Amino acid sequence: MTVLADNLVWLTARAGGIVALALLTACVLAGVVLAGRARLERWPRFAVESVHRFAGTAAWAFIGIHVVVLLFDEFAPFSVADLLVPGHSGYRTVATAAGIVALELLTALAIANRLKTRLPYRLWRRTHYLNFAVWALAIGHGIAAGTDSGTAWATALYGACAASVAGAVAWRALAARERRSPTAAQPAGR
Amino acid sequence: MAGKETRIEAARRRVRTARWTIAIAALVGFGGAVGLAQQAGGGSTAASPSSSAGAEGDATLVVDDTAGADDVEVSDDFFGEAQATAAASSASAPTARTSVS
Repeated sequence: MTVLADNLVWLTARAGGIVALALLTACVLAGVVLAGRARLERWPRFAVESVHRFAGTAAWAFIGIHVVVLLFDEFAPFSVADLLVPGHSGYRTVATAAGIVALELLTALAIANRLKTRLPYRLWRRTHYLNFAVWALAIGHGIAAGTDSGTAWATALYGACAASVAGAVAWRALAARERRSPTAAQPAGR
Repeated sequence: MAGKETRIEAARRRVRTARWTIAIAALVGFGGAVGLAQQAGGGSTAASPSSSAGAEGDATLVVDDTAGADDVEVSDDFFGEAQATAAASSASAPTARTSVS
């Protein structure tokens, strides 16, 4: 109990980051399903979009926990600058910087989402692809900065996140290629 | 038309279920991650940078016990590697290192 109390801030920060990554992965997967225009019998587009947004909002909540709680770590105090300026923190500088860049990019993309109706659709769509960079930076940050990365459960989690996103992207690429192929555009017999 | 509304309503229900599932899974996952992270510390504070012994291995305290050294600087970085470095006042002074793991 003493160990838990002593490390509660650090444990909370780590758990917040891990859950945020899982939610970000769920958000990316739902986004890929939307972009791939998958026709799901029981899941119309508006339903998938709603889940996509909810997962994104939930990810924000846990990113907030992850970041804010670090301000209260007494032994390894992170200043506001450490948490906002890439390269400022002395703790695993590059890995921490990756997390900060991911957070700031995600913030910029969230603002772009709010302005979606005012932006040209193609511009919004292209900027939205940067969410893949956010996800990649986030998982890199987790692996390199997380003190649990060597454990079996963390390896399994990172592996599952990476495999699911890689699989979804591969499906999306194949679906796009099929749509572009002449046989798909003109089915035989018509 | 009624069939379409039923399908839409069913999809809305699924969305609500999915949202609750995500929220509960996130909270349960959060609690589980705290527990797993605590276990990863091996029953000690090893996995936290807040501890003096880091997750990356044994902390090593190196004392440059140099005769004539008058300026000893101890640093303890986030990785838990405790290092004590003595700056010798004389480069030619005999050196004896004590390593405490």
